[in-house]
Amino acid sequence: MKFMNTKRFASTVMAGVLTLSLAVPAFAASTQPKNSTVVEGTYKEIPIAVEVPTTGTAQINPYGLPVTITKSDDKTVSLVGQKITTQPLSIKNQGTTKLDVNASVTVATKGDVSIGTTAGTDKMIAVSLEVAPMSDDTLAVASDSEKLADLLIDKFADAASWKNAAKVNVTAADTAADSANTLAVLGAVTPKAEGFNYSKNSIALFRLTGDLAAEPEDTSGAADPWKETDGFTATVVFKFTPHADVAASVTLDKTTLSLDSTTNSNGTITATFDAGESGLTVTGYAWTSSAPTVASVAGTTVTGAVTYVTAGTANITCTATLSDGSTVTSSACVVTCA
Amino acid sequence: MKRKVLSSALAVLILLCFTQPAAALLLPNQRGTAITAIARLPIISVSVPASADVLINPFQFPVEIDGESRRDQIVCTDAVMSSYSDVPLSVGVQVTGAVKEGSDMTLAATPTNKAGTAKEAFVYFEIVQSNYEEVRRSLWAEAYDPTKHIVVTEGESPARTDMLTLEPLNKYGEVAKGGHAQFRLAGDAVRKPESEWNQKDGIDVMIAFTFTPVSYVS
Repeated sequence: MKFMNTKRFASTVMAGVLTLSLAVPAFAASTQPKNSTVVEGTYKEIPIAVEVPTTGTAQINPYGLPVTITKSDDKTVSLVGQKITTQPLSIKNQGTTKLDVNASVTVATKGDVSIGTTAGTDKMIAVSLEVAPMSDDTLAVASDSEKLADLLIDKFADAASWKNAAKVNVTAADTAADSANTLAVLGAVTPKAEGFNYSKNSIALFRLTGDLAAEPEDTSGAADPWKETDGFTATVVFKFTPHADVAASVTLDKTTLSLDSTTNSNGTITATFDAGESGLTVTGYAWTSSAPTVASVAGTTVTGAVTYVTAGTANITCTATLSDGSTVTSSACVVTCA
Repeated sequence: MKRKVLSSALAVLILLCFTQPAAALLLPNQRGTAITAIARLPIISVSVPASADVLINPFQFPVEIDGESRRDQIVCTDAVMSSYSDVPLSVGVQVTGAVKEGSDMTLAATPTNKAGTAKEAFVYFEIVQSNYEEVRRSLWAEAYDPTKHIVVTEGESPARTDMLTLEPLNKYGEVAKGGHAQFRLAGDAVRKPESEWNQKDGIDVMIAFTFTPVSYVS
């Protein structure tokens, strides 16, 4: 019976709280000036969905001995000649937002190992983080594709994949992280009924690489061979931020142009098109004068021919029509006619 | 039931306690990877015969060695080394020669061509890379070559590095082609010296091998 009373009491309190919570906006509204609009702005967090391995393994491999990796079909590939050999690692964007990849690396050493920007004659290792963005149609597979892991092993073992890899060099051990921004741009995925499809550039490979002496010496010049107790742990922290595509643009070679009615009555302006990350091309150029009665402009190519008409100023712009039908207009060149 | 709920809650709480510090270090848009690197040391293992016999045979009598009859002036038993290493090995050699005590022979620095009056023997060391675990006579050089061979001299220890590179074990863990090397002492001797050859004549040769790993190049 006593329990029932408590329940009733609780529900009464709850009803009171609800009533108050609904009443508050009304009270607030009463203080707002008439004929006004309150616009509430809130931050909408962009979900970051990137698969990043929590651990990885590497070897200090003084002689670059082959490290064999077995794929799901029992075929093998070898990583050869790498003095720091990392097992395949990748980051995979699994979200619908294109992402910039930033990273920092901190290295803690074990044994007699030290870290430097170049390999020493002693056990000083130069370590770098390499991030290689992929752009390959074969990687545009479904999220549940069984062949993706093998494809990534092949890509990881292929030296060509690392040709344009971005690098973060570790400058010292046990100190603040060395970092770099925009090491890669990960393309967004395309959702489907179940799971999603990776785009050809949703994935980037990463590894530790570096240099070291095969037969190190101590400070007295005596041999100080590598020991099994030598090693290091590198902590890589990736930071993902939404990528802002660089849009197509048109720029003019001049911001101002002076003409007169006598010796300098004509001039030219040249436009330069930058596709940015749009992948578009230009199908045509059009030149416009804001005041054709002051200065006229003619042209259908990257060159606009400007002619003095009368004294005054006019803004000349160039508009490029792009391969998708859209247009992009330059900022103005101010033509002063004296 | 109450106990089960309590213990489950406790387990979740403990789990949270452990995961929280790591997660707390990263912002919502950060992810971390810890890469552990350990040193990989090469396996250097080469089987090398501990001893071999060399016979000075000035008159080129037939000599039975390893079931084969030979008529060389310097006859050496077959010797093959094999690499069981996982890294290519550059082979360096140092040869130290000494005439046996009581002998009045000397070691010549150049081939005797069997002629002369001094009791001299010209002995050189030869090593050849091979695919076989037994000696193939066809692999030996037909004559002494100063660019490839080391002359055995009294009281000196000439050495040469990088005479050949032994290949590492193949992917099946077997000695690879080029993982063997056959070596020998060869040469010639003055056939009829003024002081005749006798039982006291002979040489002791110490051959010391150095194996240096060769780095793979990507």
